[in-house]
Amino acid sequence: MTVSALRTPQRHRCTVVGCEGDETRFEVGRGQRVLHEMIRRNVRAVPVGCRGGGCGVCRVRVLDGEYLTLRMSAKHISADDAARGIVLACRTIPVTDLVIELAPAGHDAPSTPSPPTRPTPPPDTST
Amino acid sequence: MALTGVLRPGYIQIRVLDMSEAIVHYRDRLGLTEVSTGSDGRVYLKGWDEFDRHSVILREADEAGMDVMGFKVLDDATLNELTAKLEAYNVVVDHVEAGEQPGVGRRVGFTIPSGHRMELFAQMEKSDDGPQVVNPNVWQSEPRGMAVTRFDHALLYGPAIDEVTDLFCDVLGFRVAERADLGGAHAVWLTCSNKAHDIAFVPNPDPGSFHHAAFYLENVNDVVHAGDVMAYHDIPIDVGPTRHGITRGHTIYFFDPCGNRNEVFAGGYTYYPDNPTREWTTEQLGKGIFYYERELNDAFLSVYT
Repeated sequence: MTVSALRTPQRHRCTVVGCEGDETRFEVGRGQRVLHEMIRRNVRAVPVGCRGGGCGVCRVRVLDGEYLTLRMSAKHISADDAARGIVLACRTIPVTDLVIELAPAGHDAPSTPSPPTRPTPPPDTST
Repeated sequence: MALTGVLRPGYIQIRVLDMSEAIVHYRDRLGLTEVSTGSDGRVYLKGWDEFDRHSVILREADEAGMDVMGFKVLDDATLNELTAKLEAYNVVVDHVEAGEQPGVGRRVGFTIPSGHRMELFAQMEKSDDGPQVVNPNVWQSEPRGMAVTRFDHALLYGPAIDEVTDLFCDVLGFRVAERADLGGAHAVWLTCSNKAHDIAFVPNPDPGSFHHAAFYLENVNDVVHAGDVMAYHDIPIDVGPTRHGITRGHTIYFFDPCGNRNEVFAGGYTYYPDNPTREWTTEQLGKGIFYYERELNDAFLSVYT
C-alpha cells in the first residue's frame, strides 16, 4: 500500500438536501454505494426501490462532489440526465463528499390507472 | 388427456445490466442450471425439475425488465390453430424461425395491449439434465442455493388489462382464477392449467413493465431456506417470507442484482376449469397480496422494471 492510499479517506459524507432545505447526513464507506450505506445505517432520506439500478425509485441529482456510477437502467437515466448529475443512488459510489437532492421522475404508479404515457417499445428478442 | 392448448409458461427472457452478476444470481443463488451461452451473448438456464432445455434467458441490455414470455403449446397443430385464432382476433403475429433460440422450434410472437411481447411455441429439445425417466432419483444433479424447481409464472404491469384478459381467455383458452377490483380497473391472475396462476397482470400506465418472475419451490420449508440463502448473500428482500391470499402460495419477493424482482413461490391451490373466479374487493386487496400483513408495501405498486 502506498502512502497516498493511506491518506485516502475511508469514508465520505453524503448530505441529502430535502425539498424544504432540511439536510440529512450519513457516512458512506469507501467504495460503497450511497443507497446501500444509507439503508445499512438506518437512515431514511432517499426512497428505496430495487437497489439494483432497475426501477428508478432512488433517482437523485448530485449538487456537489465527485462520484462513480455502475450501469443504470437507461429507462430512468438518459445520457442527458447523467450529464446533468442525475443518477440512481443505488448505483452511485462517492469519490469525495457528496451533496444530493431527490430527483424523482414521473415513473411511479398513480393511484388510479390511466392511459399509456409513452409509446410501446418495439419487441426485442433477437439481439 | 384433459390439459391441451396452451400448456404452461415455457420461458422468460429477462434483461440484465451486468451479465456476470446476473449469472451468479440466477445460477448460484436461485440454483438454476446454466445450459449454454448463445453467439449473441444470451445465457440460457433451467430449473432442476424441468424437462425442456431452458426456461430462463438472460440478455445484457441498457435497461432492466422483460423482453418476452413464451408459452409452450401441446403440439404443432395447436400452434397453427392458435395462430389462426389470434389472426381472426385481429392480433398482428410475427414468426420466429426455429433455432433462433437454441433447441427451440418455430415461434409465433405478438404484442398484447399492455405492451408485452408474448410468444407461443410447440417444440423444445429435452435437457440432458432434466428429471430422469428410468428409476428416477428426485433430481439428476444435486441442487444448489435456493434450489428452485422451475420457472413458474410472471406478474406484469401495463395498461388495458381488461383487453389483455379477454385476449388470453377468448383466444388462448386461459381462465381467470382470481380478480381484484382496483376501483374500476382489474388485476387478474390467469391460469391455463391446474396451477392457481400461470401469468398475472396489474394495471399500470407504463406499458410493457415487469413486476416479477416467480420460481417454484416444493413447500414452505424450502421458501424459508431460500430466505436463509438471501440473508447469507445479502440479496435484497422486498417482502417475506409470507403468504399470498391470492393463490394461497407461500412467497418471498426479492431482487436480482440489476433490480428485476424475483419470487420464490410454493403451494397455491389446485385449479380446475369449473372453479368460479375468486374476487377481491379494493379494500381487501392488501390481504389478497400479502395475507399476513394485510396491506401492500409501498414497493408493490411503485417498484418495477
